[in-house]
Amino acid sequence: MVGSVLTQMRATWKRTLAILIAVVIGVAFVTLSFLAGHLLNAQLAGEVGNQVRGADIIVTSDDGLTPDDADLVRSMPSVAGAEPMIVSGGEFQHGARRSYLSLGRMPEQQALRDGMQLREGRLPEATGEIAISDSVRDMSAVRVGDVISWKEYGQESEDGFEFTVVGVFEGGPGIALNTYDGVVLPQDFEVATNGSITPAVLVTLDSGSDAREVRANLADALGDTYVVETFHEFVDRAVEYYTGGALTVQVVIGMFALIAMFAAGIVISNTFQITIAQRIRELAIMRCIGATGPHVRRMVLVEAGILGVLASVIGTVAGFALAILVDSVFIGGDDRGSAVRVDVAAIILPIIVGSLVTIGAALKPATMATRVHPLQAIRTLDAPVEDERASRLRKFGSIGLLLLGGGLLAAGVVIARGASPDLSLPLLIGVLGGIISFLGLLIGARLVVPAAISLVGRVARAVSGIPGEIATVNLQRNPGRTSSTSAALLMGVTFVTMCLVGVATVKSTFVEYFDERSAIDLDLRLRPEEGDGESAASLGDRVADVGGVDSVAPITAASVTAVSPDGSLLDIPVVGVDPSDARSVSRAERLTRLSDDVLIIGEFESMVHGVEDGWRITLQGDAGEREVTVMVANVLGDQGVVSESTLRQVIGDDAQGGIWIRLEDGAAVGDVTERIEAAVPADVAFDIGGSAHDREQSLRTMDQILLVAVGLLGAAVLIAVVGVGNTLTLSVLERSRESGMLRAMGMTARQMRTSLAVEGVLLAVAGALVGAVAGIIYGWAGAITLFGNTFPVEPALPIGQLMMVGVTALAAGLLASVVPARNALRVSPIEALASAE
Amino acid sequence: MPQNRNILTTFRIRFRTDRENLPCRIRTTEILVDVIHSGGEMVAVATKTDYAIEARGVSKRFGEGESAVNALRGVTVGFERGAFTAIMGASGSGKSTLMQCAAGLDAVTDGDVVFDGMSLTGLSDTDVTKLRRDHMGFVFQSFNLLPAFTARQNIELPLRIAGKRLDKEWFGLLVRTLGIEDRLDHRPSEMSGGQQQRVAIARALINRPSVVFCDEPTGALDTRSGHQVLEFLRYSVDELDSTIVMVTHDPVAASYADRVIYLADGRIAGEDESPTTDSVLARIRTLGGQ
Repeated sequence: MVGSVLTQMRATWKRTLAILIAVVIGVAFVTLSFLAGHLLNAQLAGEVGNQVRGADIIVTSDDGLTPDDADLVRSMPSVAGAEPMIVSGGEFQHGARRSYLSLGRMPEQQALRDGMQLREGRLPEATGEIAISDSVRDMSAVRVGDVISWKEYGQESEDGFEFTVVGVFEGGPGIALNTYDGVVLPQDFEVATNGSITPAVLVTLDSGSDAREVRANLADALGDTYVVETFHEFVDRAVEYYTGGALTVQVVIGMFALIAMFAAGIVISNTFQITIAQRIRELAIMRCIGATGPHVRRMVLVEAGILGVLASVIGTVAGFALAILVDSVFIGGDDRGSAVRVDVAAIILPIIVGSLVTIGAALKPATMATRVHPLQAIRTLDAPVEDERASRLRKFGSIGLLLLGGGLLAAGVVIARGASPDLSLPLLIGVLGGIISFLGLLIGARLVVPAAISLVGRVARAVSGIPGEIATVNLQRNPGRTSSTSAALLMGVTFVTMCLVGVATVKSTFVEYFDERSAIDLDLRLRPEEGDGESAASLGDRVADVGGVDSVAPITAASVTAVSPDGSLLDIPVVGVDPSDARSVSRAERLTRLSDDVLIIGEFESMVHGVEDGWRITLQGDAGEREVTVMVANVLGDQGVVSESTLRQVIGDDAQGGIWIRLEDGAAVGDVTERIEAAVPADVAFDIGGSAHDREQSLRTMDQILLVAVGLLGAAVLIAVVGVGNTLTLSVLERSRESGMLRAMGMTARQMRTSLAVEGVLLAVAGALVGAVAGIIYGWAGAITLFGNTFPVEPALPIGQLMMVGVTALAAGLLASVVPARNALRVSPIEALASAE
Repeated sequence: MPQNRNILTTFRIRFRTDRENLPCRIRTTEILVDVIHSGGEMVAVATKTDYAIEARGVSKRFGEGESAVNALRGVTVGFERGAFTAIMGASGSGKSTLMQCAAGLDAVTDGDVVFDGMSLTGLSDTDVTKLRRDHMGFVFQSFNLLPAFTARQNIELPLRIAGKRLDKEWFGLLVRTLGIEDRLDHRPSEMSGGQQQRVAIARALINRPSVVFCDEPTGALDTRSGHQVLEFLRYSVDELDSTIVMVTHDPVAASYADRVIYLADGRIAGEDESPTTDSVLARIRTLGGQ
């Protein structure tokens, strides 16, 4: 039988091509979903791994390490090299500016040097040379070729060590390890530092040795106080720490795969039904000459099996190719090596899943094929009629599932909001609720989608007249097929909208959270003892007009003594700023609540000093004293904030001046800093700080995650285009007589094309509409469930991005109507009308 | 040879025909007459009828080479304006092909189709489509109503496709005459075959076409419904100034026409004016015997 099926498939390859395409896209999507985990991790690992790339094994310890620990490791078998990563805190001076820079010891092993991601120039090769991180470059005016001097904190000597900047490397986010912002050769490091720390020992292995095995041996030999990890383990742990646990990533990936295969299944089933309908006469003839129902069924299933396996293999290869493309275009772009790891699960699973889903999706069409009556060889097929009872069952089932799923979703949100310490329970309930309610939505699509179509159809009719009307009416003739077709797109849109809304919500929440803790973009402090006596006001004037600067506020910094109610005295560094200036320049809402009667102090400092929110304390200084109310808020790290007039009242005029700068949203921090440096004379000495760089980098990471999610829209849309196209093809086939009549009556080719285009667009837009509504709800619920106990999540709606999804759906509908329209017009009116007789 | 000089004069003559075997027969017909005088003697008279559509030496070949089928082999025929013409012939005689070519639904292999003095050959698909839309109506054996539309929507469809306004008076007259006033809000599936065909006729006439093509309009109907449909077609020619070209193999249906054209093997095999069922049957027998 396989032979005869193959002969048949060869003879009708064009027909099977549609199925092949659907399966290939579906499986490629699944493969990509599997690999998306790698890509997502690679995205983060790219940054996390920056400190240790090139090492095969990383040894860390919660108790701290010493450089001597490297010697211990070096003696182990299979170890090619081991060296401590050593850093030391200090500040650098560049011209008149001074800023924090943690210095690192340049690794000696070539593999580790190769692992450093150079952005500009080169690594130090001679004594007196330094390479700096991109964040230092962005936050200062230091450029390759400049000379800076660096001094370790706590060093007595007046002068630092001079280094020439020879390169810029990509810095790390400092999640798993203390990081360095500059590297010098080991001999320079020895001379320049005194009180350094050793965050890790980096180990390279002999080629050919198994990292996991050596890791196990090392762990045994070193004992429990050491953490021994392979590079990947280290990165995974850091990423896990960063993303809030592996569960989140796994859930996301799992949902990617589930949705991909579900969408593909729908499209495959639809496509099979179409090919069955296309060859009903052929099947009927087979029945006439004696083929039994089960025989016909087996033939369809064997065909599905062959197609499924073939398409799954192609799809898997395509998925890998796509992942590599995505990686190299969006994530990689340097010599880090591809993030796509060939793992067995990502090869075998999509092939198995793809084949099974194809066969599974063919079950219904196969049963349909057995119902082909021999008489249909000589008669035309009547349009199927919806079973009353089944439709009522569908209605109640759908509403039931929606209620149950919605309830669970809400329960997940409530539990998560209730500051549950463990996220897995609300997450499990939420995901379950999401799946159940979405199932309800899919089943209920037959009720919801036609309603959405008649809604959108009204617009189509108004815009395109009779072609729009014919399209709308045609779509409403077969609600079952219409809904299952738009279900594929509905699914894709739901998913993408969920991601967009979810990330937008998390982002807006995160930005708010971040803003509350990092109120000031750029914080410039004058160093009057070195400069020419520039005042804060004149510095502000120079900077105010610089491109990318939103607003500027002059500040005063000094140290005051606070007397707490129990009489104890403590010294607090404070910044004085005019409250109205603070409002314009601060990103933190709490800083805008500053008044003459308030001292804002960080959470950590309040704990250290034993000061609580709402306490009345007295500030003392050279000029006088004043009572203020304590407000605990992490707006400015270890410094307190009071109003300018309060500070003057307490300390008089003896204070360091400076300015706070708020940047325009979206301004490139590095560029603005450079312009500020250019606007200020070189002999004006100031330090530059602030959270702009961190903020920019965090937002960028979020955007990149979003990019990966939106990249998947491409696949979902492709599947939907195939699905919509298939349905239209079937409709065109069934309606060829009507089309012939319309053509005879004078409907132009253009009007026919318009009608089909409207049909495609209606299908797509109706699915997109329902999907968008569902996706928005899921996105909000998901964001709250995931982060509700960490941040106060504020639902956000990325209107622009959602519009893009709508436009994409519209374009998909249009695109899907191209081939069916060509088919419809290829049949001449006479042929169409003749087929009736 | 001056005495052999020919003089051609064309006369336009209007006259009334009076036919007796059918009701409502009185009507005006206009014909053009060419008279040729030679040396004072009238030597020839030729009449030129006002044709709605003419086929001039039309050939239609399907397929190529050995397997080619010549459906029409040089057919020249005109369909008079304001007349009811039937095309008869056995299966494969080319009668449907002739109608399709005349209606611009299919392109001719050779020859020319002239509509209102304009040649269809060389017109683009869109132009022919618009010509059909604005000047032709169609009635088919299998009704071909759109199942999703009501009777009213089906009837209005040609106007909506053309973007024209509905002439309410004309619409009312048609549906009243056809007796489908009370079925207007029904869908085709809720109507009998006869009713569906009458809706199809209303749809064909709604834009006052120059010519209505009917392809076996009674083929799927019982005798009574078929009779009603033919009565109406006759009525529309006599009272509503329609021009009808009907393809049929039913002698009874053909007897309702003013003129019957017989096709055999893709050629015109004969012609009858004022046919009756018997005359048609007799003619078919003769043709069959050839």
